[in-house]
Amino acid sequence: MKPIIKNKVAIFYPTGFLDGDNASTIITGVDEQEIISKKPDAVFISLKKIIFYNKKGISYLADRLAFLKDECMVFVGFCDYDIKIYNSILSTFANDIAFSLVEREEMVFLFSRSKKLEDKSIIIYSNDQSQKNQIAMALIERKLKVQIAKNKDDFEQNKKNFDFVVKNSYIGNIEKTVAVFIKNNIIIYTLKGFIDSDIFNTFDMQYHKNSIKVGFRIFCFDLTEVSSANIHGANFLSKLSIDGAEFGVSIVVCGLNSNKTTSRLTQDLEDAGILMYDDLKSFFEDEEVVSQSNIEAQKMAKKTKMNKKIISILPDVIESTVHTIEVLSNKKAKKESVKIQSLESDMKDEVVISTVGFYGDVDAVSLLIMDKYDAQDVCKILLPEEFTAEELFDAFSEFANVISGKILQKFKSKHLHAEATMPRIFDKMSEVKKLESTKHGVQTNFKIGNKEMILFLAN
Amino acid sequence: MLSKDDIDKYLDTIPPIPDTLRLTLLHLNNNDVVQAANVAKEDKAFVVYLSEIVNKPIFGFVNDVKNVNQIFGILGLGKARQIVASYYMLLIMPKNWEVFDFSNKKFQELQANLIIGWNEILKELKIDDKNLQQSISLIPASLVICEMMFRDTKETILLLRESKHMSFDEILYKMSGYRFFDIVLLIAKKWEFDDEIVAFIKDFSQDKLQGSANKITQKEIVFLRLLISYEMSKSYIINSGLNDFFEIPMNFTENDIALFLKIRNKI
Repeated sequence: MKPIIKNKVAIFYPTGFLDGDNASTIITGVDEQEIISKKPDAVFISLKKIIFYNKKGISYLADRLAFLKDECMVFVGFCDYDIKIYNSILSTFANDIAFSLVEREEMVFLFSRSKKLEDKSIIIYSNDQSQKNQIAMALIERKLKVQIAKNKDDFEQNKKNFDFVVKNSYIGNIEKTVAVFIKNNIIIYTLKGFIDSDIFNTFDMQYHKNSIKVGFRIFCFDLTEVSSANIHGANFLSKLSIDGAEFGVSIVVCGLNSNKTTSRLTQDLEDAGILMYDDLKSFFEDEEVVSQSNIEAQKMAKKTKMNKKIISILPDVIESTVHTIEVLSNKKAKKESVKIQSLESDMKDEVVISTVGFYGDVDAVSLLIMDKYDAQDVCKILLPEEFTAEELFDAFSEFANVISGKILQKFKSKHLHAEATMPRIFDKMSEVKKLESTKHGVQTNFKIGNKEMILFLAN
Repeated sequence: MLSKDDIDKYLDTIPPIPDTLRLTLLHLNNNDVVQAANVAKEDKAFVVYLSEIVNKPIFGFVNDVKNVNQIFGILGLGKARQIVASYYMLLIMPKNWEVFDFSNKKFQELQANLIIGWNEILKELKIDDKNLQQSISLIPASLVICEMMFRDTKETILLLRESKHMSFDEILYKMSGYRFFDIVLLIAKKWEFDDEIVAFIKDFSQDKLQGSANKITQKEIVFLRLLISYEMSKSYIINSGLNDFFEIPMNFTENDIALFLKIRNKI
């Protein structure tokens, strides 16, 4: 059973009756490998659709969660249960609880770090003094406004004044990881604990490099929850900034103050071209810098020539893309021309563009440029009846994700092992033309009705 | 995308019930097991199917049973009727399953489990209703129709499911405007189930039970929901993805669950 991964939290939703026979189908070896490769912040099993479970079934799942906790240092546990199930699980596992219990799914996000929830207020109620304190500490560390209810009456009287209510919950230790999320086309890495030489191991450099490749320009390190950074940590950030400079990439650091590092190291970071802010809020208020993420794409210094492999994968990319578009829009896409050239088009602003990078045995960037109204057509299935421009971009991103999944399947069938980046979405041709990847590649022009559509594939 | 016309087209491909089966059913409905067996014997494939399905462990026969008269006699009228309906399903079933990781052997297992489970429930609830007993065959039939409908757009559907985390029921709804239980209803109408069964199916998929104008009580619905949840929790079904069609409302009392498990233990 595949988990749903949202904001770097992976949740499994088993249904019906859970026992020793079917528990192994809830978290399979394949699911475990996927989780290990995707490095989420938290892995939870929602019990909201479970009608009945026995000890064998729940023990098997607890065992797999413990494995994942050890393997990828993630926050693991069960959520969405009532008080009876909570008490029953606590008594089943008595003194050997290697996982957490969080009453409702949305509260898992309070403890994970991928979703920004600053300024949210929380009231905690628990009979267990040590748990109460542990929960409070974890949430305070997340910069949330926490109040511990004095007793049950205090809790019942005041809970309506809070954004979240935490009760019937049990948490173990939350290990440190590097969390990633995207806001305004800016990639934000959230770090925690100490920033030292360990960062070279925990930071996903491949993800970073490929994000640059598909056009992300600003990378922000949120160090608000970091307790201190030493010279190795500072060197790591400086290196990222210097390496990224040739691609026009800016590194931003938020929340690194004099309590966390020396003024000398702060000076070194600034000398390496890193932009320093007190916190994320003040960074996002600096419109001049933030707006750069949308108007200017990266300039890749190293230009590579078209290689044979790109040409050989072109039919697969075209077939996967066109088939998906035709199925979802119910319109025919007619191929007009295929040329090796720089990206050329008369299409201007009524467009939606996705860029996806492939890496591994295949090293390529694929751009799909569609008329805005055609894009709405193909995304119909993913959109609500009324939608905003932002929702259209999100849906188009999902759609591009579906296509890249299909392309990866084609590669796999030819024994080519590759991964794809998340799609980056643009809505202006002028922005995309600044991407180095558009300077030289294979451009395939299509007609959908009387509208133009372009698929551009480059190194 | 799937239009309503496409779905009607798929439903139209369901062939009418063959004469042998229709006559067998007619005799069973007239409580004439001997005549029913005599007619059934004429269809050799049906005889093989009967012997395969009744010798599955869930039917609990110690020795192989092969004679049709004997099979019908042991099964009794109710189960015999359901098995005739199940055989009809086999005629409309694809040779290979493409969208769902399923096989005809697993399909027969699901049919057998649903038949036995439903019969035990009706027996426990002291309900003797031919139509209600047979209505269980609508669930597997609808699964077959969904497999057929999704075939043309299989790759896109599987990727949508993976990347957008949509359930098969959600994808079916987005593509056609129908949910799984709308398909069940369409088949019930096509197979000319009476209004009570149609109302029963409508109630089944509602979050809150209507307290129904029809005679079928809420208890049957609750226990059918439990039965389907139970069968859909089995490993071979989870691995196939078919469990994804069922968003069963979760309003069971502890007593209902305890009684259901007691019925299960009898099987």
